[in-house]
Amino acid sequence: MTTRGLHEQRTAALVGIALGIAFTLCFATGLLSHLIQYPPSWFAWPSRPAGLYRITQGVHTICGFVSIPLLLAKLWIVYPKLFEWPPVRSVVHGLERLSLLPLVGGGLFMVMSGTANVARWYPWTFFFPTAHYWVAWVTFGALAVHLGAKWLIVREQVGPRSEARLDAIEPDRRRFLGGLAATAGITFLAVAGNTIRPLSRVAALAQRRPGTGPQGVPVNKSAHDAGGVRARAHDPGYRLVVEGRVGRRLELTLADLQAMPQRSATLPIACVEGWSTSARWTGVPVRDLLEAAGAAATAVVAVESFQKGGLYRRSDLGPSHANDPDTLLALRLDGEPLHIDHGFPVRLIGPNRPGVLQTKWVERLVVS
Amino acid sequence: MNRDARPAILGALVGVPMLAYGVWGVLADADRTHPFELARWVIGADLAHDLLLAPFVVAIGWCIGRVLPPFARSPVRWAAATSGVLALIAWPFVRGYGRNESVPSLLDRNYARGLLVYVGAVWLAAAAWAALRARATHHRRDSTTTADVDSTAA
Repeated sequence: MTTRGLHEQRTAALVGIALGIAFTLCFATGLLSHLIQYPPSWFAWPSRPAGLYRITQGVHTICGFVSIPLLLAKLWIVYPKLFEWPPVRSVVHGLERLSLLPLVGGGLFMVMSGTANVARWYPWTFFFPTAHYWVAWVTFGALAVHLGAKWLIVREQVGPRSEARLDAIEPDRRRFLGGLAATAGITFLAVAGNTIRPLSRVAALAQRRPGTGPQGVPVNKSAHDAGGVRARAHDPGYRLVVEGRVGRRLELTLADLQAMPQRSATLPIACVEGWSTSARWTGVPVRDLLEAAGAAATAVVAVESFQKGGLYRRSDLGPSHANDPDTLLALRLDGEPLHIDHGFPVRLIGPNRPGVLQTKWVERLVVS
Repeated sequence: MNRDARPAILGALVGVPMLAYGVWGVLADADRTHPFELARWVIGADLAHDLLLAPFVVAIGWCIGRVLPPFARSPVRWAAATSGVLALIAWPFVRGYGRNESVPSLLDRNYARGLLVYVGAVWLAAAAWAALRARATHHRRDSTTTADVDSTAA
């Protein structure tokens, strides 16, 4: 058996299709997550189903990890073409080869930076989400160019009338593709437990374990790292303020909030980094507060933290989330008062939202 | 227009604007993306693969072909490649660069041990696969005619 024969078009096409599917799922779910976090006027993300974001973001990170063996295998297959002679045969050929730089460099950067981010390692000075987002456009654009350039070859190699499967190296190819599928499957097993709880025990490379952390629920940002929230959280002068376009401005103490009708909901914390875990949250529905303040049902509500800095000290609730009865200003987690790392005295928790938009240490709702 | 050129033109019509939008975004958000450093990472990833990782993998594959008997080559190549992929992914976890004392739930597994268990299982599977192939080769030698052996060797 030799592997030399596998540096050829049919193997490249088949692995390329698998990689293209994985990258497309990554791009689509990543774009979706970006739209949810920075919604343009034409985009509205619903509050239901409650666990949808944990699925889309789980798909994003799992497909990213699984694409690592696919990408490396694909590059191995086509590696001899890097040295083809003459290097440039025509203008079109030159442009097509040039498009491989953003495709290969971008693809490698996407999986590498994504992995580093999941492990919360930042060996660079740029801001990961912004860089990862824009390089995704570069990479996916280069992928579209590449797919167009290779379309006829792919059709010839794997199309319904293709006779390529009848060639002499098909057994070697099957063995190679089977091995690659096994490697991709093993990669899946090692990481998927972040999202798929039954696999958590075998998830050797998951960055979280469900059931760990304060009150058995992991956090990304501790009170210590949020800077100065501890003193303000325990300040007896704490007030939750509801203001903006309201009929009546509200200023509520923690005791006022505790005296209001409480509602409980089992909701996931779903991080953009792919881990998620469910807990039972209890508190005051945002909708009740808006009603008490006389806000319109179509209002957009900015939820602000007393955390001083940080990009995620504020998040917006569109009408779908603001009116959902399970969108809570939570005071309790699994029956206990919130741990300071979970946002004591009050945090936002709502269905179908990225974890970074579940604002902690809330002090103000601004209606507009 | 040449019919065969159509997919390439369509791909370029879709892809080039997306690519340009990405480059524009990197430059427009320069205070967050640090374009020169980012370009070094993207181009550096490509060069690190083409000049270091790929030649290394090719060399290992070639050595395996020289040293091992045919029945063991595929299993060992697969196990080596899979171990390499797992080790690359595991690197930042094993090193624990992202550990944070105030967030103990983060990176709270023994990743070195987990990696070793996975790599061990991969090599066990490869050993079993090699043993099956060795037996199959042996059987074929015993029971087939010379012509059959020639055709499988071709």
